[in-house]
Amino acid sequence: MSINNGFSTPRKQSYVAIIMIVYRVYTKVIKQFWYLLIPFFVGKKSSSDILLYSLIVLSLVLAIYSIVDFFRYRFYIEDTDLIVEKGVFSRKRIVIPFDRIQSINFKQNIIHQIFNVVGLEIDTAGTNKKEFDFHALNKKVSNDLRDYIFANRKNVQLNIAIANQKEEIKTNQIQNVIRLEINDLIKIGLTQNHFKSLFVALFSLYWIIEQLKNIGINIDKYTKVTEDNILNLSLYLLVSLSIFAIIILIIVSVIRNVLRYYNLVLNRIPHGFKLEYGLFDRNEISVMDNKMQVVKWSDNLLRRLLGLFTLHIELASSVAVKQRKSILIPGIKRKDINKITEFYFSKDTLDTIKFYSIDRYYVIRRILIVSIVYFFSLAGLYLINHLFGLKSQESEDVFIILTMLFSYFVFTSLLKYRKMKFGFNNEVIQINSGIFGNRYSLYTAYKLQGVKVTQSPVQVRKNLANLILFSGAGNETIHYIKLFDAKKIRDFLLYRIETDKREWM
Amino acid sequence: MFENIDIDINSLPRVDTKSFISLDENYRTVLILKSLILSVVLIAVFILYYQLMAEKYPLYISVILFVLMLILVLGNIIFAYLGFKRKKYKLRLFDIIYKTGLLWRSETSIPFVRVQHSEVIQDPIERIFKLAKLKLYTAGGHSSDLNVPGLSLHKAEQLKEFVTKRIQEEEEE
Repeated sequence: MSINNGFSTPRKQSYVAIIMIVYRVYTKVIKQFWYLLIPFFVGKKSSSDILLYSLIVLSLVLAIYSIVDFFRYRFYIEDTDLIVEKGVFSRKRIVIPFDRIQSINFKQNIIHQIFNVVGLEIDTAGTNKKEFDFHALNKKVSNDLRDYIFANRKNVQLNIAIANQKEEIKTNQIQNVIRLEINDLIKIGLTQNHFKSLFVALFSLYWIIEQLKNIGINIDKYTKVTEDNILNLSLYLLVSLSIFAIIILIIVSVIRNVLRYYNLVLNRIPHGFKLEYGLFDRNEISVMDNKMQVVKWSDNLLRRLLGLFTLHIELASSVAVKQRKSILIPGIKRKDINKITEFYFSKDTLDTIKFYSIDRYYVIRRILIVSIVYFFSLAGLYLINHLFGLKSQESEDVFIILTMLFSYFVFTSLLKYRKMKFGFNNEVIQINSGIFGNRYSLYTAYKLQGVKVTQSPVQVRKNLANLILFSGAGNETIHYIKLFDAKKIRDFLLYRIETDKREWM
Repeated sequence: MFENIDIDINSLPRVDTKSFISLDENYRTVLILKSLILSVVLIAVFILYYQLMAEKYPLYISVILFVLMLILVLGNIIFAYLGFKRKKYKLRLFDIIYKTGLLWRSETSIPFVRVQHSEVIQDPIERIFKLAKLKLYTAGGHSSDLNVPGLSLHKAEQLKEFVTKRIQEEEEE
């Protein structure tokens, strides 16, 4: 084992970490209690003196706490373990064997960038939260630390040992796979699912108003809309207002996308990928190949026109942190997806997948259930109408809404059925789904954790079954296939898991 | 060196449906006892309702609730009785399979190479009957964990030992 760059002696983080800790503690507190600050800006100053003083005291205590926290934080390397000692009141010693570290991610917000330091997140498999965070480390130290850890992991060395020589020479250099320019990011921002941000905007507006009400500011007073007002507002104004809101929303989403994913670069490094992105918050995520469990990509109606997909590479982890531990590329062409999967699987793997449809009883049953619900609702409507005598306008409205919902469910069920496909070959099993857009999930067969075949009473009668795949990064169900086929695929997957001796993570 | 040879899917080892092993007969009693405990709770709730609140509502509500309670209690016991026969497991050289379910059936298979750790647990009722449950944990989250209940304590320990041994053997290879 080589000299470990002086990591064997305990050392502190960079002093910039103090700023980061203070900043983090303060944002946490402000996020919780921000509405308490509002009285300061909205008058009533005399009554809030005590509040002001207690806030000042609280901030001082928090600042001192952060500084003590910094001076109590030490890390070092012992053999092939990374060790962190920390804690203000009680001392904690955390030992992480290198083999359990599945990725080391660099983060640089604007303060980090000014001082040329980085924040480090060290992810380990199977835990619900990150084991540790380095708030700020000198950039060179972080690079050395990461290189040292990755160079001394046992299972990686094993992989290098079994890889043939030709491959080793090829992968020993860093190779760019994907780079997103500003115009790509603008396209990505424009084609995002804006309904989601609309809901988020409306919901947060509602939440803010509720919080303001809690501290005694009544918004309704300022925005009181009487029935006369509504009548006065011309339809023209309403339409232009909503168009304006949508445009603002789209612009915000584009800007957010550009800032967030600015200069996104995906590089191939020996035995893994390295992803960098962000303007103010610069992120760097490295992921080793053996940790990969699932590759997923999806599009929506708009993105299909541009041939763009969102790509996730999911790693072994508990469900709670799936989001954080996956590599996400917000916009990628189909041919670039192939470029990435070719690093994981042999060249023609994706082209040799044979796809199958699911049984049509899946859609028949869905439509049957929706129809029953629809007809019962209509019967209920008729009954209520008969008993209480609704206005004809009202029952007509309800009828129209019910019929529209019914048609929507039938329509989407048909779309969903048409898109549901599954396919496999020796290496992978792929599941396609989606309603308006498309979703594709590619599982490495031998990395699966287990398989389950289930049957509902109806399926028992029809000799159909669901097949559930358990992976290290979540489950996936193939619905309504022949019981015979489900068992055959199950046997095949078990065979692949049990005979392949490669590391699954 | 890993080689990716073509596999003929029809030549793969099949899970033979006939040779599944049933659980310990005493476990049927445990299942019925457990559903009886639930029944006692249900009946107690109904009696409480009948004593305290029934006067305020028309009689037919009490009748409906009584019938509902009866269906739940009887259904529970019948399902516990019949469901026992469906609970079976099977050990193979490389994996373990557990199947269960009377109406909603399921068959879970976990290869030993993917088991993270295993344990034998007992709840109070199982302890009376000297029964235990074997739990196998994988990295796929709660839904992919495999539980084999209704084993005699001795057998559960034996199985756990077998699984642990197989995991070690697999790792050494």
